[in-house]
Amino acid sequence: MNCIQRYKIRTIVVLLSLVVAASLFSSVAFMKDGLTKEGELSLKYAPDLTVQGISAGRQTFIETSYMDIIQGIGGVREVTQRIWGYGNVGNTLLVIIGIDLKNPGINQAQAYPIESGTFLNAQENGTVIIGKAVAEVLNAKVGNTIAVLSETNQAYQYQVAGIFNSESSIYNADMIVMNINDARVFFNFPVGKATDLNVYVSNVDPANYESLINSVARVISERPNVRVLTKNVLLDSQQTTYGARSGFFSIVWTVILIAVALIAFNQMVVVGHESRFEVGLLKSLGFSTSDVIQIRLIESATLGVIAGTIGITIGILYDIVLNAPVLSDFMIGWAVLYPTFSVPVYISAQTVFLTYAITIIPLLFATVIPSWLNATVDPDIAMRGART
Amino acid sequence: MKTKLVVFITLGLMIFVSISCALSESDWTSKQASPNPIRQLVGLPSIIVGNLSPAARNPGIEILCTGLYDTPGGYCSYFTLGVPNTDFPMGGNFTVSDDDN
Repeated sequence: MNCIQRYKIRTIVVLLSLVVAASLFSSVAFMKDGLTKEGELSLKYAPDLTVQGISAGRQTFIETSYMDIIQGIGGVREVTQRIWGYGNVGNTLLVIIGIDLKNPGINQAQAYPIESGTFLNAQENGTVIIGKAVAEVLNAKVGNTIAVLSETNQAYQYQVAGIFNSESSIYNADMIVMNINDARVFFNFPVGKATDLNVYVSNVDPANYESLINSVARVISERPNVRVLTKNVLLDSQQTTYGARSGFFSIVWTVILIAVALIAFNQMVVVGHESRFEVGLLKSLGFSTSDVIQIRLIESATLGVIAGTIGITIGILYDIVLNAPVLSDFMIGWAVLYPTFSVPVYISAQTVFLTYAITIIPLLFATVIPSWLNATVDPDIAMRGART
Repeated sequence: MKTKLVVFITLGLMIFVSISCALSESDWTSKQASPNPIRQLVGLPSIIVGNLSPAARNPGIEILCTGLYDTPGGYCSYFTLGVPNTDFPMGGNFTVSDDDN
């Protein structure tokens, strides 16, 4: 610690550079882990297969008549339709989900996380449930009427039946759930068409799950104008998306880290010259070359631990307290178009250790050569040289 | 004195990091363990909610995204990488035989 304090300039320069590198890496990594985890969690409950319509290579409506055909395939437990899209309330872009309440595809006995009001009634049209954050943005309460502008430039009015508070901040921030009939009218969907079909397969032994999925998917994909998406494909695409996005930052971060390593190398060389008397004294007292190198490496490791700790702390505060300004826009999209929500952050032990590792190890590599050059000097020459 | 202060501050921050990590781990574990009817009802990965609208995408990143359009679960520009990995062979025999001759 005394050595770290003695060479103040070196300490400050290396510490500052490492803190910037560690905080940038950790904040992006925590956010990426949170987004991936959020996706995994939702996919756990997603339908086993999602069937979309395809026309001229582009995604389009799907015929609901396929539901009966798919239902007849061996191993299929349930098929539901879904209509979803986007609508504007004022300047806020919201996701509108139309659910077939008579056949929702899940166990209806489960309690929905409704904070106030009630859940949708299958017999009632013109009502919606909205997320808690949406309610705050719109200043809407249960019983209020909200007007949503459709693509046909018509303002549709819906009564707020309930406000849900899901543990997913993203759901709460921009989702309106309504009866599928209302969604059909809102999006001007033709009768007999849906956005996609959800296919749930029978409960089978996990070992046979993949083969069942593949066999059902194969049969569905033989139908014309359909695209079949499995959970694994959806998960892969999410991981690729966020992996690639954080990958852009990894490049920036790697450049910063190389710069930090060069700075550390440079500073260690300078300190090496300044500490010649100290090294000479240590060697005259019986310290070997490897002992001196060890001392220098311990110094660097201590510096790396301090910088890593400060960097991770800044990363956590930046993500959680400040809600990751700038970086969250990059990871999520245009933040201005939908209500603000807290970005999912996952501070995993793995990422914390990884941040420490990539903060300390390059610093050790950058230190070892200057330390060796410094330690191999003859003690007599070193002490005389340092005094002259 | 200074040395002690640096050590105490570093230890304090390390404890803060450890507690944050433990809380985050337990929070996600409990989220995974508890059933979520809203997620089940919607059936869409929540992260795509609000992201798939072309208006909501970041054009700097999504500039290549024009071909596949909305796909539940991911950005279409990256989805092109995922689709070929769908591991189910096409059924049926596509060879046309001319048996009438």
